[in-house]
Amino acid sequence: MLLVKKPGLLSTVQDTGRVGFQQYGVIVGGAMDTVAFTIGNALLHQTNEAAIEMTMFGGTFVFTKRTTIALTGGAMSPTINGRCVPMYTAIPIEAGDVLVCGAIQTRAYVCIKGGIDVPIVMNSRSTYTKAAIGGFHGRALRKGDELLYRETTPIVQTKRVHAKPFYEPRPIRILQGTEWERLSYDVREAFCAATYRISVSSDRMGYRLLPNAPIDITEPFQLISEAVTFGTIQLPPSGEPIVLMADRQTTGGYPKIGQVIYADLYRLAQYAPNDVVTFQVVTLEEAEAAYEKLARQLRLSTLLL
Amino acid sequence: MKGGVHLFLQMKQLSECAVLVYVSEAISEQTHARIQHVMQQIQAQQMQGIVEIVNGYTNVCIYYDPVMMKKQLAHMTGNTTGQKVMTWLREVLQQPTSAVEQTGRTIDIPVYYGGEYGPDLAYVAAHHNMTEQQVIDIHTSGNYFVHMLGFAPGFPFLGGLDARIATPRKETPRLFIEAGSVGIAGTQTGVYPLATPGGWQIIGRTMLPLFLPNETPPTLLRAGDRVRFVAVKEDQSCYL
Repeated sequence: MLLVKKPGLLSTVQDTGRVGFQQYGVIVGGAMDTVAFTIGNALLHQTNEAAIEMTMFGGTFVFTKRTTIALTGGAMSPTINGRCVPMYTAIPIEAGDVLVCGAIQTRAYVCIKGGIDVPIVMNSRSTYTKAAIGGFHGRALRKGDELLYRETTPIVQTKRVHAKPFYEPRPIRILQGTEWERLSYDVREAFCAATYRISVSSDRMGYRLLPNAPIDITEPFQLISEAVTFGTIQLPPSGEPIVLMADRQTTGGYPKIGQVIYADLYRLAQYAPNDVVTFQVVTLEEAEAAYEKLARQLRLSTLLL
Repeated sequence: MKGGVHLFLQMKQLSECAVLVYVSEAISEQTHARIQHVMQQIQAQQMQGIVEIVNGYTNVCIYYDPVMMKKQLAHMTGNTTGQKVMTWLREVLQQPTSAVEQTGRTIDIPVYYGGEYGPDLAYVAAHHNMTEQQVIDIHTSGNYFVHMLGFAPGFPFLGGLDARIATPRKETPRLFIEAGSVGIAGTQTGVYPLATPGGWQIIGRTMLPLFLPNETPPTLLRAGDRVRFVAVKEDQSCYL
């Protein structure tokens, strides 16, 4: 098993989330950086096996059985038995190996051959902390936790995935939200012109954004509750937008001013509190083209593994 | 409800992976029946690429895989996959179909009202110049309709709260509300399936679990159900 010597700041078991249960009010959840999660699993020749998602400061883990792991996501300087190991490649693990992760910019994944063995709840192994279900006992990892995995012969792999092109710094592209037309010209102008600092009270449910110049909502309105999704940008009466992330609720009543495009969501997931975000409005054509381009890039980067 | 052409259909692109389809401008049980019908019509297409369908008060949200739908709808008119999805949905929903029987259930929810379980019952009563028993009598005489689930797993958005006991939310939300708490917020009434912070006026508590993560479906209540609250005393059984 995998013994947690130090859990890190916030480490949870995640996969791609619960699909098909939003009609019951059950959130999708799952990995915040879906690209890092996908590549990590591809390096181990598998899809959607549960991994450990670590946030800002990673854990220290002891592997008691042989396996293979892959470390993906934000920049980190991991060591195994004190020796530096690279990210974005498959790493063979012998019984007794100690992985120390350290500081991360901002989220990283410990993917493991065969995945972390926790019970499936509603088709997924993702942790839903607010409902205390899924993942490892429905909560973040703590010191002393023992996570199960199947012993496998370690893979020796020299191929690496070149991740840097996926994370080139660029504005975050957004679509106009469903209430864009209802909001006043001044509000839309102010929203587009502003840059945003990510507030420290941001989490997996959503990023609270602090604009560099106030957005004055002179005529606030609410909607009756309706569907929201990963990347929906709500504009509450405070004028401080909220970008909904992996653990968002299934419905919301605030006006939706924007929608982060799918192809930029995984990059946004690597932003940390106090980072600055700028938005760029794009068309649906551009958003769909970016979606297809990302899918192609992912396929190509993992094709020869 | 007769099948046939839906007179009102408005669509919005929520994201490049989701389309909202509004079937009415009014919140009502007829609107909900239309929503159930729409969901059944779309599911009957068995279109590969539709990921899930989530219903709201007056709409459904269709989540889809853009790459798969682009392939499936290559022949459809539209400059974007989103437009093709909307064209496809309009075609599907304008087909005449036979009406499907709505089989809503009635679920009785046993509630311990007041005291430690309903810390705001006294406030609600005073707010309306009533006794606590009058509030309970009005709340339990209601026949509430579940329009949709959301906000938390198994949380019902209930219609039909008697205006006589509609009470504004608390000015300062509580940091912690017990799971099973029955509350009033404005013209809404509902039950918290999980312990969460919240601003609802809590008038009672049920021990009946609303969220059942290991069952299919994972909730006690579903959209289209009717709910009645039944006052029980602590020495009575929880389960009717």
